[in-house]
Amino acid sequence: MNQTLLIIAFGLAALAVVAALFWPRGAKRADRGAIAMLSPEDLVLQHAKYFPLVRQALTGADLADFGERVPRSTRRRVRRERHKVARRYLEGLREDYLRLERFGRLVAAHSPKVDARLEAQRVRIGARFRMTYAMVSMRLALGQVPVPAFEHMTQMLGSLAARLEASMASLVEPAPPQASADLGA
Amino acid sequence: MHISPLSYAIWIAGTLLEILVCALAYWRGLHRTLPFFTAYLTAHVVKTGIQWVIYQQFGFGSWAAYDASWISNAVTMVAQALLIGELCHRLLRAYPGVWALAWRALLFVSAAFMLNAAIESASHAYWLDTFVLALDRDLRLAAIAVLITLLLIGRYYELELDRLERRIAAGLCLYAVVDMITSAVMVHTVATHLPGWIGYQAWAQQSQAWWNVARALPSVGILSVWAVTLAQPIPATRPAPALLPASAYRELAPAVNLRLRAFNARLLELLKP
Repeated sequence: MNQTLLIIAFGLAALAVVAALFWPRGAKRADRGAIAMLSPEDLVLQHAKYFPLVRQALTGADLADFGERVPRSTRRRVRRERHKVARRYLEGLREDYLRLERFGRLVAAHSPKVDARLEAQRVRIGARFRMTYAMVSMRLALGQVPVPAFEHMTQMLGSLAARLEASMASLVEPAPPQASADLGA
Repeated sequence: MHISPLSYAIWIAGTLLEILVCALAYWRGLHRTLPFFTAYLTAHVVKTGIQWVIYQQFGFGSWAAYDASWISNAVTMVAQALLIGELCHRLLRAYPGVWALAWRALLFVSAAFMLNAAIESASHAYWLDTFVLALDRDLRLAAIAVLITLLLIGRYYELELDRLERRIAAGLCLYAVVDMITSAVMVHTVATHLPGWIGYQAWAQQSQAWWNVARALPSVGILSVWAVTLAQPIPATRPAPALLPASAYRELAPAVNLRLRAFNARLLELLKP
């Protein structure tokens, strides 16, 4: 009976997976006929650049100037707002990550030859990222805002973005006209 | 053996739909673009025709009907395997890099599940009913696994199936799941009550009726969806995508992975106290 139940459960799970795979997605999808979506814009960090503003909000330096004059309820509310800002910022960083990951997938899909090791590596990194992201989100939900760590992450993202854009530019320059168009430049 | 009016009605509806879908497929010229899909539909129509002749000649509950049913089932399963291969090729052929990776994964998954089918059915070899049902169940399982692997690869690399191909794949999956579940229930019931069950024949006839209905109903639904899809004009095949130069992947993929990994490392730092 156990095996039969297992098979029925597998069948139902398979149906759920197929339904999820066929469910229309909101995001843009790659098209067989065009890879114009492969754009250098994918490499631009859209959220990380707002870190100075976010840092100001997270440290709450302006709040400290008020000292004891600020009522406790107001400070509590400000703390809540700071957490909200941190959460949104983290979500933004996640978007940056996912866009970059998608860029990597599309480059692989449109390449005549791919390296299995690199592809497996990206899948592993993606799984680890999603796990870590969930844990950081939980930590934020518990009320901890690690400002210096956010700052490090933002700086690192910026420098890597610049390196990647440079290597992409060097690819676009000498390529034949077809390849240049393919990169959506 | 007596056929219930419900079974009979479903059988007639299914047969008519099979003929309609097969005719539409030829009319739309799918024998040129999707030859294995057309062959699969044709095999089903021929199977139904042969079964009908045998039922007329020898009766629904005869051994001839039993043999014809399972032999034709084997033929349609081969046709289904070829159709799944065709879907894999259609989805991935334009992407040589992904195809080079994916065919190994698909071959591994299908080999693993075929091996499972061989082992599982061999363990039920003491009785023909359970052996055939177990083999049927596990081959369906293999088909589902390969289709889901294909769809996951397509989803990951954002490769899009055409509307018709999507519906074919979804229909095959649904059909295989229903077949697998009904076969699993039958294997369990038969194996539990055999040997030594005096009323087996009467029970087998009764249970075969619900088994046929349970299998035929989703089939009618799937055929209806395929008929509606084929009744509409089929969009022209999309042109093959332009590929990037090989150097693009060599340069960008390690850089992207490096960046993603560094991103991860930093994210992990956020967790440190």
